[in-house]
Amino acid sequence: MLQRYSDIYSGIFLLLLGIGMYLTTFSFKELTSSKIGPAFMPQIISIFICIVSVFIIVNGFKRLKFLNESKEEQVEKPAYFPVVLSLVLMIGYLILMPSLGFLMTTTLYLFFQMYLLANKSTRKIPVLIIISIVSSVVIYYIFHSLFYVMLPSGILG
Amino acid sequence: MLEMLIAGFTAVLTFKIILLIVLGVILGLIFGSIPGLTATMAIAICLPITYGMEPAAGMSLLMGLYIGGVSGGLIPAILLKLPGTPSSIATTFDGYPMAQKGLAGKAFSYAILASFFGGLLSIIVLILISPPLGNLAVQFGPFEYFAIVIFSLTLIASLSGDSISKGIMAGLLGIGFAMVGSAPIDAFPRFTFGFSSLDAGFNLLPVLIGLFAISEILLTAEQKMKTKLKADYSNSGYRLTIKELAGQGWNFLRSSLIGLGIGILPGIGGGTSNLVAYAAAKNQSKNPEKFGTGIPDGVVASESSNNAAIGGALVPLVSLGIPGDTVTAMLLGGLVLHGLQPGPMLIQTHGDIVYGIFAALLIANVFMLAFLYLGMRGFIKLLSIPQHILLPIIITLCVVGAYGVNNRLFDVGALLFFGVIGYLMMKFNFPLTPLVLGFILGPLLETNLRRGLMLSQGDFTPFLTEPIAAAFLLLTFFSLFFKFWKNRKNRKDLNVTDHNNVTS
Repeated sequence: MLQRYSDIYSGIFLLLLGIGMYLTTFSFKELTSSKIGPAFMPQIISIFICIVSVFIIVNGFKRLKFLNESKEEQVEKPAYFPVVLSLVLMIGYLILMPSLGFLMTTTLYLFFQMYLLANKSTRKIPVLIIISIVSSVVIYYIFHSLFYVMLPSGILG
Repeated sequence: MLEMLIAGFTAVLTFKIILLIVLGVILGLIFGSIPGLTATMAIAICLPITYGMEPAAGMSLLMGLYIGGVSGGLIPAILLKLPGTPSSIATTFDGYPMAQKGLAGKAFSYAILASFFGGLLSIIVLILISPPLGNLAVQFGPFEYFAIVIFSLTLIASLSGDSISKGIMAGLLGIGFAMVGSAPIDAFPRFTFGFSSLDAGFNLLPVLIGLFAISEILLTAEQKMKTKLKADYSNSGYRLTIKELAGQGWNFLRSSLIGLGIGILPGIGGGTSNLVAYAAAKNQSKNPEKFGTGIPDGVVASESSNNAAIGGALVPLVSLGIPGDTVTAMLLGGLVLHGLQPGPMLIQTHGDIVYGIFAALLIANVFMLAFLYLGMRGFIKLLSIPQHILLPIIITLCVVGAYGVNNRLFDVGALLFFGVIGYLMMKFNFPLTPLVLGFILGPLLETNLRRGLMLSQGDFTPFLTEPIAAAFLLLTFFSLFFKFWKNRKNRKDLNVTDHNNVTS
C-alpha cells in the first residue's frame, strides 16, 4: 500500500516543505546593502524544491496508473516495529546519558539493541550481557583515555 | 614535482603515520569485507578520531581506510557471492563460480593483484595530472567556481539513482540543510527557529554518520538478522604462472583506464566502474559466453577498475575541491575538519599535505596487497561475526564520534535526526549521495554567487559571459538534457518489456 503511493506522499510532503521554507524567508532581514541578501538563495532553493516535488508527484501518479494496469501486488512487507523500537532505544540512550553516564547507558543500550536484532535461535542472553559490558568499557577507555573525548560520566563519576 | 613527492614521503614516513596507515588499511579491509559495512561508514566513524591529529596524520589514516575499504569487498564477493561493497558487484559474477570450482585461491590472487596494480596506476595518474589541473583552476574566480559547483551538483544528482527528479531533490534538500545557521558573508541566522544550538548550523560529521551509518542500521532492523553467513573455502593455492598473468595484461589495462575515467567524472565512481569494465571485457572477449562461468578475466576486470576509480575520484577532489562520490565527499569533510580549504588553492597553500596524501596512498596500496595475502584467513573468519552484535557496537561508536565533535549531546541528537532522514529517504527511494554533496557544496555555491554579484555590482551577466563559467553551465544543461532523454527512452523500453512479461 505504502509502496504504491510512496512517490505521491513524499512529493506532497516536499511540496509543503518547500512552501514552508519559502514563507520562512520573509522574516530574514537585509544586513548588507548588496543586491541579494540572506533570503535570496533559500528562496531560489525552496522554489526549486516546489517545482521538483511537482515532478515527483506527477511521476508518482503515472507510476500508479502503470501499476494498476499491471495488477501486480507487492507481497513483501517489512516489519516496522523493530525499527521504531530501535529508534526509541536510541532516543532513550541519548536522553539518559547525561544522568546515568556513558558506561551504564551504553551497556544497557547495547544489550537491548542486540537482543532486539538477534534471531530467537541466536539470542543467548549471557553472551549478550558479557559483550555489552566489555565493549562499552573498551570504547569508554579508548575514547576517554586515548582520544580525550570527555564522555558524560554521570552518577558513576 | 619529484622533490615535492619526496618531501611528501618524508613527511609521511614516520613511525606514527605508518602505523595509522596500517591501522586504516586493516580497518578498511574489515569494513569492506563485512557485507553491510562500507568504506563510507569506516571513514565516517574514523573522522572524529582524526580530529585531534595533525592534518597529514589524519588524512593518511583516511587514505588507508579508503584503499582498504574498496579492496576488502572482494573477499565476500568471491566466497559468498555477496559484494562487500558496491564496488565489487561484478566480482561476484566470475569470482564466486571460480570459488565453487575450488579455485578460490586463484580468484583471490587475480583479484588482489588486479586491485593492487589498478590502484597503483590510478595513483600515478592522480599525481601527474592534479597539480597542473589545480594550477589551471587557481585562476578561477567566483563566476567560474559557481558554474563548476552547479555542474558537479547536477551531474551527481542525475547520475545517482534511477530518477533524476529524486536525485535533484536530494541535492536541493542537502543545500537546504546547509542553510540552517548563519548565512555566509553577513552571518544572519537562518532557519534556526530560535534554537541557539542551531546558530552554527549542523556539523558535517553528525550529518554524514547519521545518513550513512544510523540509517543503515534502521534498515537492517526491519528485516531481522538473516542466518549466519557461512563461507565454504577449499583452497587450491594462490600461485599464478607468469603466463596466466601476462594473458590478463590488456584486460587489466583497459579495465583500469575505464575505472580511472569513470572515477574522475563526478558522481559515478567505484560502484559503476566495475560493472562498466566487466561489460567492456565481456564485449571485447573472444569467448564472451564463458563470462559468468568463472573465468579470471571477469575478476580482473572488476577488481582493477574499482581500485583504479580511487585515484580517479581523488583528481577532482584534490585539484578542484569537488568530490566525485560519497567516499570522497567524506574525505572532503575530513579536509574541512582539519581547517584546510578545499579547492584549487589547496595544492598551492598546502602542497605538503597534498603530496603527503599522495605518498600515503602509495604506501597504503602496498599494505593492502600485503595484508590481503597474509591475512586472508583472518578476514574470512570475520565474515561469521553476527551482525546483531556488530551493528549496535557501531551505533555506539557513531554516538561517541558525534559527541566528540563539540562535546555536546546536541550533535548526537542531530545524528539521530539525520539517521531517520536517511532511513526515510532510502525507504522512499531517494539517493543519499546528492544530499551529502548538496550539504557540502551548497554554502560554496551561495558564497560564490554572492561574492560574484558583489564583484559585478549585482549584475548576473558575467555568470553567462565569462567563457569558462559559460562553458560549464552549458555542459550542465547538456548533461541534464541527455539524461532526461535517456531516461525517457529507457522507460519506454521498460514499459514494453514489463508489459510483455505480464501478458505472457
